[in-house]
Amino acid sequence: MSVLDRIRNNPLIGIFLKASCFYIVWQILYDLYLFPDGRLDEFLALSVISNAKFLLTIFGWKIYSLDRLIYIDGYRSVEVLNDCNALSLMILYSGFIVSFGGTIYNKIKFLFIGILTIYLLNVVRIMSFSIATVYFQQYWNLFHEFSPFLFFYPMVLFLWYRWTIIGQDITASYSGPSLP
Amino acid sequence: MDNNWTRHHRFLLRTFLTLVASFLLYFTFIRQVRIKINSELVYPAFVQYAESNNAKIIPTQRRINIIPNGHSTPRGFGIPFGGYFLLPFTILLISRDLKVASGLIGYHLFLFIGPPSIALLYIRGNNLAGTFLQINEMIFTLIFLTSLLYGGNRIFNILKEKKPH
Repeated sequence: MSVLDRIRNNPLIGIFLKASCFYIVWQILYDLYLFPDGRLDEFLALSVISNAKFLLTIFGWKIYSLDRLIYIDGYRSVEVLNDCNALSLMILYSGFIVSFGGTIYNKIKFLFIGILTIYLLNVVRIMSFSIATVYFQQYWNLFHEFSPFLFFYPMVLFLWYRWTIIGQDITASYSGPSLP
Repeated sequence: MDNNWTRHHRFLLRTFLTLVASFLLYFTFIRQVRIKINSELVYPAFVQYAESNNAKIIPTQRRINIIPNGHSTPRGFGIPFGGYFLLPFTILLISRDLKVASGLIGYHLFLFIGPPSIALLYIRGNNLAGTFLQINEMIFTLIFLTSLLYGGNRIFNILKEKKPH
């Protein structure tokens, strides 16, 4: 069996190659148009701040925001940079869903559910960053570093796991890629 | 029945202890070594190269973040063989898939050469290099998460096989 055949017959490599192509296309598109335009990053950052502020106000916190900064009265502010708006995680999540087989309808459904879930989790993450400035400011950097493990990765893994079951069931009949 | 029960619980205990040992190994040793490699070798070399190209390096403990001349947002790479290696590697070892585990080692060895070389191009102002640094970050996280998913799935299946009836 040639190396090319072995690569072709390995479902994991197939997923990686498809996902990698997806990321290359996305990143080129992002760097050429979306990043210079700035509206997508701006929308994600500002809407996450506005929703986090709204929810924290409901819970009784005296909270303020200024552009991309959010802060609880008397404590340090949290800035939502482009890297913190969860856009790259949404793309990472989408790359796997698009690469793993399944029907178009189910793909769109999973993309919608996943991206919305990541967005909502980011709102909760930014809320928790603000609250962290009050209760454990000295551990804030550590909390920030490990926050994807608390908020994003478990949910992304769960959704991907569900997708491997659903996508596999549908594609099994025509030998699509499956998780070994 | 007793035999199955023992095997099932022994495997669970071994999984738990291996994860705890890997967690301790990371915080007591690997994290410090990566900080040392970055602060004493990688960071000084990149700062020197960046200064001669009018670029800026943002110091972080286990990453090199670059802002080339005329750019505003940093892009960079992390020192390999960190937590994003150790956790999936441990899970793959527990799931007894040495082939995929060695693939993971191979990928992290590549990370010692690939991203730093691309980063040197980015410092010199090559925009495409910046794009590839970002693509590498995404593939890096994809490999981390899919390894967890794959290894976790195998552990789950092993546990199902050993489950007492």
